[in-house]
Amino acid sequence: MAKDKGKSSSKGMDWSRELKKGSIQVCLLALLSEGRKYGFQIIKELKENTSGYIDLKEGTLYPALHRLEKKGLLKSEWVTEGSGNPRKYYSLTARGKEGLKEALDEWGAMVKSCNRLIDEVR
Amino acid sequence: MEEVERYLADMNKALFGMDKKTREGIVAELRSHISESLADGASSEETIKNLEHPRSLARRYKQIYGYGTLFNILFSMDAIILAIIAVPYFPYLGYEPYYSLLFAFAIVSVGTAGLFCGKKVGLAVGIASTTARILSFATIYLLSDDLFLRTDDALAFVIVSMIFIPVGYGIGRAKEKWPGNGD
Repeated sequence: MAKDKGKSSSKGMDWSRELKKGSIQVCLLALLSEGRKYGFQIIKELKENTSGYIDLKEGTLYPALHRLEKKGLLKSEWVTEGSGNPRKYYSLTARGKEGLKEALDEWGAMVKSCNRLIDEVR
Repeated sequence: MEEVERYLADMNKALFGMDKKTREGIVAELRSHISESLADGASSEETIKNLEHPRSLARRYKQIYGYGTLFNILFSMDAIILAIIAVPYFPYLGYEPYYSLLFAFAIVSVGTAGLFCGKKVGLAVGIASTTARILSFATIYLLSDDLFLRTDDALAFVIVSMIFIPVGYGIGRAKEKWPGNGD
């Protein structure tokens, strides 16, 4: 997902990529909790909100959105404002909001227990 | 812009086999994305470069949506037809061992349906093929004057016919669970 792999890879393991793979769905749900958004907007805001750390590629984003929609966590609608470009907006469903809450709880638990382990090792 | 239309046409082609409405929606969304990118100041070359190659991007969508109904039906048809034909004493077959070979082909066809269309279609095709095979042989038997079948042979036939079910479902499921086919 990040365009440069150099920083955190060693001997073929791209840790930045590995860690991001698991968190992308949570990030999408979290971002959409702010309100409905369309693909291009999501890419931009993700990049801005994470100070450039998450520079999501389009080929990753759109299938991820479709997958979440198919699972019932998102819904979509096409909106055309005036004579502008038609845009496909995504928003959280009720299930999506629940899912986000559960994911964040899980995230917190994971970070807490991992930090405990990491502090011992550091 | 030429490259944009070419990219979208390639994308449409790569999604071939998918349900039409889904395919059109995907292409429309990519078109919308490209328009946004161009309006934002990027060049068409840059925009297209950031999008994945149509074939690999299409593969991701196919993993999510699978093939459309028409394609599923086509994949299933040859399996079911082979299942019907691959029974002993099927008329016009002549030389007996051919039926075993056709039976093997039928099993492969059911497996292929599971492989390409997923475990649900694989299961459906498996059940349909099993049923078709049993009905096919039952018809031949009932219409024949001189065929005699012992009960345990009939039972064995039914049990062997059921192989389509685990093959169709199993291969479909194995493919979905294969690392890299993410869900």
